[in-house]
Order: sequence, then structure tokens, then C-alpha cells
Amino acid sequence: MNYSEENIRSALTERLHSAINRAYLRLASTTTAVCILGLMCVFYLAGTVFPQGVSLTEYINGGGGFVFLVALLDLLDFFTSPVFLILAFTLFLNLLVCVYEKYPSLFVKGPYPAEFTPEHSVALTQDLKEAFEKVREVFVKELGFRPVESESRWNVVQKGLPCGLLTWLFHAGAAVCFLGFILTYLFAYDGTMRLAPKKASTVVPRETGRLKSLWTAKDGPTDFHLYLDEFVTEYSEYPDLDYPEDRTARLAVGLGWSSPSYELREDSLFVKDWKARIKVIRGNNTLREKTAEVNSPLKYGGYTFYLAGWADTVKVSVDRNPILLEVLSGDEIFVPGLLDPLVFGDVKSGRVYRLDGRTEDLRPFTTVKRKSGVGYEYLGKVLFGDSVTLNGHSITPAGFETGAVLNYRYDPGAGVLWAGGLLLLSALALRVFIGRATAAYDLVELDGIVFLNLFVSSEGLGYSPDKTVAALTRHLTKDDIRPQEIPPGQ
Amino acid sequence: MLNSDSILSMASYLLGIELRLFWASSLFYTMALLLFIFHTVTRAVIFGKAARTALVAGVLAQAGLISLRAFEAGRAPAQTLYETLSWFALSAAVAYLYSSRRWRNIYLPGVLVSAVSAGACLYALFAASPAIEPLSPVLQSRWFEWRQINMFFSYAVFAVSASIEATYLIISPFVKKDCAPCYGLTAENIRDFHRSAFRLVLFGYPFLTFAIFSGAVWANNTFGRYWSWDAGQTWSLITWTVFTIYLHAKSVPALTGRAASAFNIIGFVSILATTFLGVNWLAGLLGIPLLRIYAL
Ligand code: HEM
Repeated sequence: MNYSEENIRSALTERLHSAINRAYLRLASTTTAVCILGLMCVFYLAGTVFPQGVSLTEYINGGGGFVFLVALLDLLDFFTSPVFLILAFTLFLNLLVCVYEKYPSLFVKGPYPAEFTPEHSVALTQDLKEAFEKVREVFVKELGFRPVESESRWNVVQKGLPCGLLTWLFHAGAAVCFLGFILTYLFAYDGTMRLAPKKASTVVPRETGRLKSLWTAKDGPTDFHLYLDEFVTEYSEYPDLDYPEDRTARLAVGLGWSSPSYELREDSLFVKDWKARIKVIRGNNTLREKTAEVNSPLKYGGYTFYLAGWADTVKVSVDRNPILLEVLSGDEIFVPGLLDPLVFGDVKSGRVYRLDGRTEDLRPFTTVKRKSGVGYEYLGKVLFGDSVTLNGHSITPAGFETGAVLNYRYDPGAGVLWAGGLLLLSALALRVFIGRATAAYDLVELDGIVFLNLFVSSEGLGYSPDKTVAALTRHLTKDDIRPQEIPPGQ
Repeated sequence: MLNSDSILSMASYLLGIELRLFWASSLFYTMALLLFIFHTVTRAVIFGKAARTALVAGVLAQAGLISLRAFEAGRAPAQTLYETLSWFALSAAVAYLYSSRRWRNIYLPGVLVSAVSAGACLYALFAASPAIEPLSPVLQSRWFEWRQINMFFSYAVFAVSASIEATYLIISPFVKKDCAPCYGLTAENIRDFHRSAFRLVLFGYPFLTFAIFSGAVWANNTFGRYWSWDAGQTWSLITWTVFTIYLHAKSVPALTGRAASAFNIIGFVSILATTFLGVNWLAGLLGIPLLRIYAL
């Protein structure tokens, strides 16, 4: 045997080709899809079992077991681990190959078998030619079928939507969704910023998408500014339900022996909505204006800004001093003359929707706590302008400012995902809820009697073969052809 | 204009009625379960018919209480655990009654369906709070509402499908050609009966897909991320993937039989596990600490 370099190379190329061919065939198979999806399920399960986003040390200190496996498979950050990503990518390839393989079959009509096995046989009392015309007319005019060209001896008619195309479309939609995931994985990043009222802020990203971070530390600051015009909080009154926890007592309510009752407690205010009126400005120009709400983000310049919450700055006067101290609610502040720091709670201000339909503006108030040992001593609620006296000092919350906390995100994958999802959902819904019915029929004359042999099938849930046969029979009866159902094969 | 006290006493009164209706529907579902069991033990068709009637009564009571709650809350009542379980129980019973409307004297799948409906109702009544709570701004989204409604509806449809599948698996070895019908099932109609399990999954699948999609739109609008791998989202993905496998298995000749049936049952188990045991049950079972999980 000649082991020349050329021979070795061609043998290797051949092996490579055959390996690629085999891999391709594997990826084109639905069985492979079943296997990969099964493995994905096991992986998802692992992701719900092991806490995500904690460090291995935290996990071990918390008493977690299976440490070797956890470390080996990166189970605490499993959904971005190489094992998971490789499997997800293989499913994506599987889907792509499948979609590519099915593409040519979209343009192929049929194929319809030369012979169908009749599932219904109906005896007609007309001659063959007349019966043929009538059956065709009923199918087309009454039942809405259209004749389909086929090489079969049987006549084939169809109605509904091209299911092959719809199946292809929703698989293509799933592939587009995957593309969206990949774009998000590679390019998306996010961060948090605080908008102080009546001040312009610029987005200064602290991160860059995974792929981009290979060549740049972060994107530059944006050339536009965000300006918080107004921040409004709305509250509604919220009654508490007096209802037993105990099972027997609950049963007693069911039997009508006792009744549940709603009660209004003091301070039963529930945040109904936050609204931030934000302007996007460049120089003196306002480029966009929007009242952002929790479920209604502001979009500009590729970024989406989500209203995540608010941050209050409380301005405090000590002993009526006009020079005010400023502190974020929730943070500790040392007040001159007091040994222990104070903490002011969230400011409650804005509009209240009362249960009886009245609306009113809240007189703004906050709460005060004093650090005491390891905990805090609650000192009470204070209206703005009122004071609390501590160790002979009068502490007055004199004013406040409410700023908006925004999460910003850059994600070029989300739009692609919505497009793919829409394609997937609409094609899937049409395929499943409408689908297609195919009927094949043949008319034969035996001993002077004409028989209509029928085969009806359907894909999807929109058409029922039984109903089609029943409707056909009804129409034929109406035209006095007097069909008579006989068992197939007789 | 009514004052607050009148509004509260009216709300308490309506909740009292609602709870009584809820207990009544649980009672009907439990009666249906017992009657379906009698039917299974005795094979008497009369018990099957009575069980169906009890199920219809349960459905009527529950449809009433859900409508009442929708009126009280001024929104679709499918947001809290109490509400979603109630919606799930109703959907399962309705899906069963609808899909079985053409079966003659076949009542076996009713055992599992009525057990699921009764279980969901009793769980809601004993373990969840019936208070109509104001929704936090985060949950005030149509997308979230659609997610809840569609997800629990599809779960209910899958539960009915699994009941049929399980019945088929247990009963088919006993159904022989030319023998008397076994619980109404004959060699002729059993394939059709089994096909209805597939058709139900096919029917429920787009609803679950839409639920996952609308959940992603909601999360994206609210938190800025369409997917965060939290346990709730991941479990809905597990269920969706299992039913995707089932639908594929149905088109692979080697898997279309028992293997596909097994996937249908696994999907049902995953629904039961998440609906009744909660999303962290497996971690608890394996003794894995929950720690700080799933940062958004
Ligand atoms: C996440 C990805 C996928 C989703 C969501 C998906 C979804 C579906 C659904 C819902 C059906 C059932 C349609 C019906 O019975 O009417 C189906 C059928 C099918 N899928 Fe997929 N699929 C995926 C991946 C794949 C892959 C990777 C392949 C290729 C290897 C594949 C090949 C098929 C085939 C051959 C059918 C049968 C089509 C028919 O009966 O007309 N699918 N798919």
C-alpha cells in the first residue's frame, strides 16, 4: 500500500466528509431533536435545583451537597456554562438544518398515493357520469374544497391552509427566536442610574455586551441627556382581610357559620403607580418626552429605560438651622448633637385614591428611626415641617426631592425575538386551530350500482373527517341521490 | 357615593358568597371523584352519568364564583395563587366535559380529572388567601394577565389529556377484538379515544407557547429582561419542552406509541409538581439549600 502524503490527505478528507455527512444527517433528524430537547429538560431541572448566581463558597457554607458535580459542571451559573451553551447551540443547529432540509418540500404538491384505502363507501343511485359531476359539485360548491392535481387514480380535493408551509414557518420562527437569544447573549448589557429632579443626566454604561467586551471595556457616554421633569407616586387605600389561617375555621366560613371581613387600618396605603415624566434632550432641543411607568419604559437611542423605583432625598433642619442636611431615605445620617445616627424612611407624598372614590393629595411625611445597638428604635411618623425632639434637639424634615431610579438596557436581541415569536405563534395557531382537510374519492360501478369510495383525513383541529363525511352525505341526500352508507370493503 | 364602611361590608358580603360557592364547587368535584371511583369499581354506567352531572354542577358553581370575583376585583381573576388554582380547576373540568361529549358510556378519565379539580380547589381554600389584593405596579400588565390565564388554561387541558393517556395505557391491554366493551371502550373506538389525548395536547400547546411569550414580553417591559431563569419561568419552560418532545415523538414512528405516551404523562407530572408542590420542591427533596436565587 502506498502511504504517500497525498493518499493520507485524501483519506483524511474523505473521512472528514463522511463525518460531516453523518453529523448533518443526524442533525436533520427529528429523533435527534427529541434527544436534545430531552437533555435540555434535564439541564433546566438542574438549573431549578441548584441556586443560581451564588459562589461555590456560599453554597458550601449554606450546606449544599454534590460539591464535585457542582464545581465540575458549573451548576451555580449553569445557564451560561459551556455545557449548557453547547447543548443549546446544538439544538439551534438541529433546527437550522431541519428548516433548511424542509425548504424544498414546500414547493412539492402532494405526493398523493396512487391508491387510497377507502374508509367510507356510499352507494349512489345515479349513473357514473352524473354521480361524478354531483360529488364534485358538492365538494367544491357546498363544502368549500378545491380540486388538487394528483397522479392518483383517485380524485383529490382539499381545503384549509398549506400545513407543510405553516409547520416550516413556525420552525423558522423558532430559529429566529434562537437568533434573538444569541444576539442578547453576545451584545446585551444593562445598568442602573438615578435621575435627580430637574437635572440632566447622561448614560454612562459600566458594561458592554459579552462579545464587544473582547475589544472594548465599555461604550462611551451617550450624546443625549435625560431630564426628570416630574415624579409622581399614587397610592390607593387597601383594606386588610380578617380571615382565619386555621383549616377548620376556614371550613366554618364555607358553611356560613362565620364571615370574612375587610377592615381599613391606619396607613393602609398601597403604591398604585409610579410615573416619571422624562425628557430626552440634546443641547436646547427636546428629542422625546414620555411619562414612563413601571410597565411602560422609555425607548431612545437603542436603550430602553425602565422605571425601577424612586429614591428620596430628605432635607433636614436641626434646631431650625436654615442650612439643611441632606440624606437619601434609608441611609444613616449623623446629626450634630446626637450620638446615634438617624434613618429617615421613604417619603410618602402624592395622590391617594380613597376607597370611597375620593382623591386627595397626601400631606408628605416620612418616618424616623434611631440606631440603637445593632437594631433601630422606631421614633414615629413626621409630617414635613413638623419636628421631633431628641436629646433636646429639634429635628425637622424640612423638604425632600424625589428622584427616579432607572434600569437601562441595550439589547439588540429582543426585537429579533419578538419577530421570531410572532412568526412562530401565528403559524402555529393557524396550523393547529385551522389546519387542512384532504379528501380522496373514487367512483366505481359494480353490478350496475355506483359506489362512492371515500378517504378523508385532516391535519390540525379545524376540520373533522367525520363531519366532512356527514356533510357530504347530507348534501348528496338533499339532491336525492339517496346515498346509503355501507361498510367499507363490501 | 357609598362611604368606605358600606364598601367594605359589601366586599365582605360578596367574598362570603364567593367562598361558599367555592366550597360548594369543591364538594361537587369531590362527589364527582367518588362517583367516578364507584363507576371504576362497579362498572355501572349510572355512576359515570351521576359523576358527570356532579362535575357539571361544580363547573356552574365555579363559573359563578369566578365571574363574581372578576366583578369584585375589576380584572381577570387569575393573578394570585387562590385565583389561578380556581381557574385551573374550572378549565380542567370544562376541557374534560367538552372533549368527552361524544363518548358513549366512557367515564374512566373522569377519575383523574375530578381529582385534579377537587385537589386544586381544596388546596386554594385551605392554603391560599382569598383576599382581593391591589396589584403592585409590576403586576399591572395585560401581558402578565394573559400569561396567567393562558398558562393555567393550557395546564388544565394537558391534565385532561394525561388522564385520557393514562386510561388508555391501563385499559388497552384488556380491550380485545370481538369482546364486550370494557368501560365503554372497544377495539374499534379505543384508537379514536387515544387520539383525543393527542388532539388535546395539540390544542393546549399554542396556549402554553403564548403564555411563555407574553410572560417574556411582560418581564421585558417591567424588568428589562425577557428571560431571567427564575424557577417559575424555568418550570414553565420544562413543561413546554416536554410537550414539544411529545408532539415530535408523535411524528417519529419508533416513538409514536408508548414513548410518546410516557412524555405526555411526564408533562402532567411536571404540571402537578409546579402547581401543587411549588417550583423549589426538587431542591428541597435533594436537600439543596435555596440561598439567594435568581437575581433578575
Ligand atoms: C425548539 C424547537 C422546536 C419547536 C418549538 C418545534 C415545534 C414543533 C411542533 C409544535 C410540532 C407539532 C406540529 C404538529 O404535529 O402539527 C413539530 C413537528 C415537527 N417538528 Fe418540530 N419543533 C422544534 C424543533 C424541531 C427540530 C430541531 C426538528 C428537526 C430535526 C423538528 C422537526 C419536526 C418535524 C419533522 C415535525 C413533524 C411535522 C409534521 O408532522 O408535519 N422540530 N415541531
